[in-house]
Amino acid sequence: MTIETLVLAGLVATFLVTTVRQARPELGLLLSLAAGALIFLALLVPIMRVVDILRDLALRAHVDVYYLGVILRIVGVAYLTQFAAEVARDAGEGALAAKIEFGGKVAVLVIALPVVLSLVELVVRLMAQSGA
Amino acid sequence: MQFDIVWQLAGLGIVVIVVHSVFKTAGREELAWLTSLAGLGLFMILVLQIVGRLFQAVRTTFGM
Repeated sequence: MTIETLVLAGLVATFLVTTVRQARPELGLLLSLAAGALIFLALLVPIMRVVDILRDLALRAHVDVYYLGVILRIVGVAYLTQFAAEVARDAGEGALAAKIEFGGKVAVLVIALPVVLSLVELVVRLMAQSGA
Repeated sequence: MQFDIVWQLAGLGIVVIVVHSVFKTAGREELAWLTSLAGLGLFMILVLQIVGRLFQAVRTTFGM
């Protein structure tokens, strides 16, 4: 999907959602949800290409593939969390949006924890070697 | 293109709105609310399918 098609589709979808939201807010919410999801699905091929290039770069830089996986997973969690929180905020549910974002933060912490632990382990090992 | 679903959903939404107000002005409130609820149910089924596809795509792209 070209950028012009995407932008045009997004604008028309915004107009339709605004129209529907005035008469039936819940239908407008669902429509905006669907439009947002379909925009991402249309961008899927370019995104996958970028991810493949990143993976190739990581391999060539001899970075453990695990760490790139951690970063990608965090990006995925961040995207989904922001998507849902924005929809909630559009519907006027600021408190709910904040809860969703908090859930995303917890998920990112859980994903990143093994990396932090291995870093601490490395530092402790280095200190033990230099200390002894 | 997949995005056509948005136009179809918007059309469905507008039809539901129009039918709702037609029934309301004709005095049949219960039919009006019935169509609105039916439209909402149909909407939710369709949209949740799309969102399910989104989650699947995010999962495979970002390797969760």
